[in-house]
Amino acid sequence: MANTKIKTNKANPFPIVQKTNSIQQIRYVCSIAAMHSASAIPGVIPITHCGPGCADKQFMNVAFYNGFQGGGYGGGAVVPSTNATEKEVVFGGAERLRQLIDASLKVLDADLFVVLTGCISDLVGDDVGSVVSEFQQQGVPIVFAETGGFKGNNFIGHEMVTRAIIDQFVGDYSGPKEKGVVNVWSLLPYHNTFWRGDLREIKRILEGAGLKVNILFGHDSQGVSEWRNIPTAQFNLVLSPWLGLQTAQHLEEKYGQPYLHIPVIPIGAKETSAFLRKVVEFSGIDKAHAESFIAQEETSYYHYLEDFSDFYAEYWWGLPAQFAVVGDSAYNLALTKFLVNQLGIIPGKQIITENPPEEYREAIREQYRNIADDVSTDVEFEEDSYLIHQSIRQTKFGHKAPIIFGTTWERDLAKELKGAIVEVGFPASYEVVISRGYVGYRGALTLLEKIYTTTVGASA
Amino acid sequence: MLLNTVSCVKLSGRSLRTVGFCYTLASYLAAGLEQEFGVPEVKAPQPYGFAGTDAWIRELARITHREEQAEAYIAKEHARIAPRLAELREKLKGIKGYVATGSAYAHGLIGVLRELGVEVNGSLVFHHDPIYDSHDPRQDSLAHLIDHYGDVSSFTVSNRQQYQFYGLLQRVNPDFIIIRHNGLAPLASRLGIPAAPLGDEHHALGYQGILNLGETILEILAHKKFHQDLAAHVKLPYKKEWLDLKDPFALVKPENTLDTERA
Repeated sequence: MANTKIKTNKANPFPIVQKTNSIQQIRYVCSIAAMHSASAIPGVIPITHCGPGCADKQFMNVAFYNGFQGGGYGGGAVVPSTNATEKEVVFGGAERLRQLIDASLKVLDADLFVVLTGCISDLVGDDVGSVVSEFQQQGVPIVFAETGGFKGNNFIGHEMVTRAIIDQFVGDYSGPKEKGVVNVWSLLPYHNTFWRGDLREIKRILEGAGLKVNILFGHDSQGVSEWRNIPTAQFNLVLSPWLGLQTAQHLEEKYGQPYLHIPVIPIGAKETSAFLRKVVEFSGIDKAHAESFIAQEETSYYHYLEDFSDFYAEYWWGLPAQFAVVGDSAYNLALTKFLVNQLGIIPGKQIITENPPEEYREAIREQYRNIADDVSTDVEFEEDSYLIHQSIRQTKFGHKAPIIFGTTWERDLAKELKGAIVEVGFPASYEVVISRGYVGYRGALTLLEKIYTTTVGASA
Repeated sequence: MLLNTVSCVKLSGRSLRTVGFCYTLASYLAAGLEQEFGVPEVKAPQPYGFAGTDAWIRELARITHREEQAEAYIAKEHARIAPRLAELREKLKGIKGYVATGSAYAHGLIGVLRELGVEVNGSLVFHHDPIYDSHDPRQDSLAHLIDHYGDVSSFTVSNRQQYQFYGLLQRVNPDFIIIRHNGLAPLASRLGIPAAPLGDEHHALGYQGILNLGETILEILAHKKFHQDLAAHVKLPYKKEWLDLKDPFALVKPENTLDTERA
């Protein structure tokens, strides 16, 4: 990168690099990309109020060249945009937005519209709230979130969108709660390449344990009717290191709903069973029912694991012994936990890339320090791929090349290190992902297939 | 000259010497070349561990008159691997290993493990040659092992039957096993014991091989978490009565308790 200061000396073959304000090879996108959080809810269509190209860039980045997930019913090229230009900058874009919403209502069949603004509108100060409220007052199911790029990245935008739907669409509620019903706040839809399969598995196992689940996003969500049921749930489950915590805290204030925060998304039977037990304990539902589901799942899981173990125990040509993970904190932590505790691979380097808010970082570090009873590791926070790759180059991975769990940006690096690469996060441009997931009981087996097909396939 | 092409094999009868480093597999051909073609075989211990490697190199040096270079090389290599070896010994302190391979190879590997400070109380070798192809005591790999590294208390000669392997592992309860053949590691895995499969049989050879094997063992020990998780959830295909027997060879003995129930 042009303005990065690089110093080299003979003693250190790797340049010492000083951090700048530039980012090479992005790992997250603008907050307006949270339009994907809207279109991830069945029947919901986003409307964007931004410059021409903003929405398409976000879509092609997050939902196309990232597992080729597609826009689905109401995302991708369906999304209406004001395509704000000089006129809207100079005279304001409120009227243009009003026209667009009006036209969208005539053309598009949606249960809920979510207006998202970009930098132009937020900078010139369009009163988007008053435009949208005109429609709300007419009974149109529509909400807005001001997601100008300077507000933060698409993780931040996601919580703005969920909050907008809760406050402007779901509304107030003070009635009774239904025991055993849970709202799940977990992976960032679309940005996490495997979110659809993962949320399906999370819903499946929670239901198996005896809970009624509002999964809220993805094909297994009931759409807006499920969102309307949010306030009647017994509790919220935040299943991620930090994303969703603000939403859960807001729901606690708004509806008096408690929340359970579990930072590690479970992969593999050991972690998944422990996860289910925690949730069941918190909700106070029938333990015996949950235990019988766990037993049934474990029986199946360990049969497959037993089959796999012949390969794992005696594959002649060697398997990677150390790993690196580069990616957002949710998958980074979940994978590290699984690889260390259930596969017995040695952690080499973990780098979290989505720029989590500073206040959550120490708690995340603590998770890595206690990754296993007898294994402690650490984690770095870095967004610039240049620095990320330098950090991995400088890591000692022992006498064998590591396996890298990363993104397409790590492809060339893996070649350089003669290691294996499994693309697990944004952007995953060499993965085609439909319903595949890597979490829970079933996802773990799929992940094992992916890891070791990659490993043994490298020698073909 | 490596014997890796037909033309090399054709020319092998005209060689000055034959040298091998596996007295299970290389010694038959070497003895044939000596007896039928008058090509003397280098008689030395196998080059595993310091003692074997030093002696093997010295013998090669003696017959090729390169004693001085050899001594310099030996000293250099000892010094080169010393720092990492010290670290590996520290990390492998208190670890127990088990070797289940062909005979002469096992003898070599046990030596290397003991150089690394790994405790080896048990080994399963698939055959035993009381007299080697050369009939020369200098190639007695088991004697070399015992003389330099001491006895192996639970030393078994048997083919690799998984049903017997259970009892053998119970005798010594190792932290890992070393294998080169299929069928034994899967059982160990189901008992929570990781295996180091040495697909590349040269992995532990020479000075560098001592370090290589140490690194591999450290990696394999990390796998323990996988195998222990599995072990806690699988049922072995063997009957309790069989697993309870202390003697892995009870089945072939007339006085065993296994027939009583069916009768």
